[in-house]
Amino acid sequence: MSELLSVRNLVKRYETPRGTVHAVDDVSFEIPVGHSVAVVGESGCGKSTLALSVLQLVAPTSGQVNFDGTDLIGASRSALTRLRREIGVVFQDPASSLNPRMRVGDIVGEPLRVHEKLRGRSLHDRVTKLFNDVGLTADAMDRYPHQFSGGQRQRISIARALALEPKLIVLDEPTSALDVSVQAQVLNLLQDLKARKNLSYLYISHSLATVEYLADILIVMYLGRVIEKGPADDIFRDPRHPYTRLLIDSAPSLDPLNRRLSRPPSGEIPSPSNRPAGCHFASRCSRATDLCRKDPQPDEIERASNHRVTCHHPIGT
Amino acid sequence: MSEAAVLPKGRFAGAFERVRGNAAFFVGVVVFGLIILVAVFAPLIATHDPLKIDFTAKLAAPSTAHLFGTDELGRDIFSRVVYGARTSLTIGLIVTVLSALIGTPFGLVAGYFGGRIEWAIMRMMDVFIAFPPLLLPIAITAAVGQGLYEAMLALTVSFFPWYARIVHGEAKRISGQLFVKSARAQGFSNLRIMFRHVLPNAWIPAIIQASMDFGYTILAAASLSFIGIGAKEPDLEWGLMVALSRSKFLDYWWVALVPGLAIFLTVFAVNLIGDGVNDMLDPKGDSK
Amino acid sequence: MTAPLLEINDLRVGFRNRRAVVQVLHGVSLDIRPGEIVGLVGESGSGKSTTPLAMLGLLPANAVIGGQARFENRTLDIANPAATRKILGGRASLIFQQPLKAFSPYATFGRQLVDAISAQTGMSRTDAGKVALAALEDVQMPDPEGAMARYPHQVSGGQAQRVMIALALSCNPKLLVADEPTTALDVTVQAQVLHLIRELAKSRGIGVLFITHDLGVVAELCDRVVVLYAGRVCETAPVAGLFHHPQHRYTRALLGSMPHLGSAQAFETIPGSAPSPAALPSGCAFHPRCAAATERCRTELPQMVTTEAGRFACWNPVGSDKGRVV
Repeated sequence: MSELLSVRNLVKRYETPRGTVHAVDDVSFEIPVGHSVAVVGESGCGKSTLALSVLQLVAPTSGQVNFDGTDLIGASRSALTRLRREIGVVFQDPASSLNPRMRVGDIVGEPLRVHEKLRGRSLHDRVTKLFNDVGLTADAMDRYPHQFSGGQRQRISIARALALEPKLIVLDEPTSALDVSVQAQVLNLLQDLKARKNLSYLYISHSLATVEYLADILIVMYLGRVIEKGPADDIFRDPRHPYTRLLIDSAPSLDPLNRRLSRPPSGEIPSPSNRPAGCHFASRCSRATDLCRKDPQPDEIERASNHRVTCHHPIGT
Repeated sequence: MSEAAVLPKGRFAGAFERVRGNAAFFVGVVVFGLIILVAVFAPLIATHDPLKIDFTAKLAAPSTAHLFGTDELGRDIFSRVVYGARTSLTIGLIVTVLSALIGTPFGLVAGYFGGRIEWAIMRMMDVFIAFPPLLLPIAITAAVGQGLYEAMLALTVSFFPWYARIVHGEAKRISGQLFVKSARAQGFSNLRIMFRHVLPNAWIPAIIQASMDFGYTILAAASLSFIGIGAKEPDLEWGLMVALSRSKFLDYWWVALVPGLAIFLTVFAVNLIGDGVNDMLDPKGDSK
Repeated sequence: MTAPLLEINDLRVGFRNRRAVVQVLHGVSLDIRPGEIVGLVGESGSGKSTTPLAMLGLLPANAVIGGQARFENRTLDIANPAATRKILGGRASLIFQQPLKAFSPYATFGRQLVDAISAQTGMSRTDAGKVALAALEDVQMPDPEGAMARYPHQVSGGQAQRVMIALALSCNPKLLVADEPTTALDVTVQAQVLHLIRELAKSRGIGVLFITHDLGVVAELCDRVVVLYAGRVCETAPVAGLFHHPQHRYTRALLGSMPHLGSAQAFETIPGSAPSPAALPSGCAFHPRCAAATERCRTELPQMVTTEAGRFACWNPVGSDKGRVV
């Protein structure tokens, strides 16, 4: 399995008046070609910072982001511009991710004008094809973003991300601002495009249900650290970290006769600027022992093939 | 896709709807339009040569020969005020456009890049803005000399930081939006992002400011002339006309009143237009 | 069956703009009983945010309101927001999505709770302080005394939501309107807040109208569900019946498109998107997106049908499939 993206020991710290925020703390993972890797976790877990670091929109404190054999961190300006063409991005909010003063045809065509110097007929043909790829007709090209619904705007964002035929697309909560019925359309479109174009995704989400549908590999983060990672099917079937279990149990079911919330979880997520010593999850964990509350933090251990968990007392032991 | 696009139309499409029924704006447009016509067709409208001295008719009261009377050199005030419209409109236009053109790039760069660049540019602008109004122009004319062009330069220097400040705030807000992030992720140049993505979304407040400033500029230019550091004889400038009549206007009211009224009418009309433009372009006007 | 706490009949709301009146609600009827949690579900443009505002008399001046309402057996003049607010004031409370917008950033929670409670009840500040503390304990706020001394920016979103619920409950309301109160929260915190709302409703007999777009939350929390589409109720039923035997085609499609754990296969999707109130389709407003639409659906507005399981307005309900040979 060849790796498209490999992130090694990535760290991003922010200094704030209230202390150091460990947004991303020693995170490593790989995205194989044609696979989608989902990063889940609650607010403050660092999943968005991780995505922005991969996109080089924030500068990591340390670590490596290797894309297709080149380290993005410390890459020259021209190398970075070239690599950026290989990575597309779709952001969460379709209302602010499209320039309101540009026609959507120009928005989708802009990367082609800038990077491939396409003009006129050939540009128009490529943009038409991109619109068709995401289920829009070419007559939409002359309109402005506000003339579209949320779901259509997200399709336009996806068309723009696809323009330069990237190998990787970073999806930062792409459906969380959409209506339920439209969310399903967009998820199906993403799944379909992945298969058709052999794309890899880095999918950032807080919604386990959409992750289960879209992800091949799952990474669960808590307060900046990876606490469990492995094949998504494995983790959903057999979560090893108590936090992963908690996340799965907290997701509402769709069956009123089989409610999950009769025993709500206790405790709150600590602040990322003031993480507890030892295992950061120990304060909320029903399996925690004295060992968990003391430094050092638990190491990553392999429970099954490629299924790794950072826990002193993983479930099933 | 059968999805119907049914959202309201863009900023400008609704703009004229919003302004319809704004009587003040129309009064402003009509009055200002007349003043522009007067300025353009000044040679046809003026009844006399505005510079021709006629001591036999000095300080003549308004009459059929001299519609608004004459000044202490016997020059026809009606013709002088008609020609003066050219000067005032030119000053207003040049100073406002130059200020906006100079201030906008500063604000754009500061708002887009942020950090140390922003700090340096905006502190520099603060230095300009910290001067009391008119003090900076006075200081500048003291340095570069007096006259109409010098006054325009002085006003431009004291006005452009305001545009930098307005555009800065808007550019900073826009730069934080996802479409700008996305443009950066696509590897576009900073220049392209600033001018294609940030500026088109950030210039509306500057336009509103310019429409309001136009009148103030005319007033400020007249003030400079009045205190003797702007236009000089024989420039045809309303403020200068009022200044020259300073010692006479108690006995001969028309020498000050007519150019004074011209200033008032122009500034008032421009302000009405400015308010209207504000209502038209400010999207928040929708909720009224 | 107990008498309804709040009963709304044929609620119609339009918003006047310069050109015309855009009708957003076309006759919505619903009722809430004491201790009952009613879910109000819909997509954008369905009227699910307008409905609670109309109920509480909080619509802006350009709203054109019609319909009948009764609260605790008193007739509400729902077309008159000021009169509605007067009757409901102190008896109905609202919590919403951004709890931090409910509080001033410049004063502690304690001060703001005490201000609100003493203003509503005329209690002394000392007594109001005790009530505030008790209210924070009731919402299981960790360290309630400490929370009184904290400023809004010093707590997490989940805690701010708890304080807002405490504020809403401090006047002992009979009705709680909750407008997407957990949408901005993380799942584990959402689970806590949902549990809290359920406990409070049941122990105090408070009727709750819970507005949400998330069917999962409805399944976990509500007793009964009202599904809105394009300003009309398309189906209302007890929660188990609605999820297991939906009747309206839209309800069924919405359930099918809802991602949930254990459904790793492709979602059923509803084509297109919800219509804008300014451009509603003819007949059943859902027909352009409905796979089972017939000629009648395109032209005739479906009538509300009442069965023992609930009510729905669909010409071609899901249940009608059963008799057919597939």
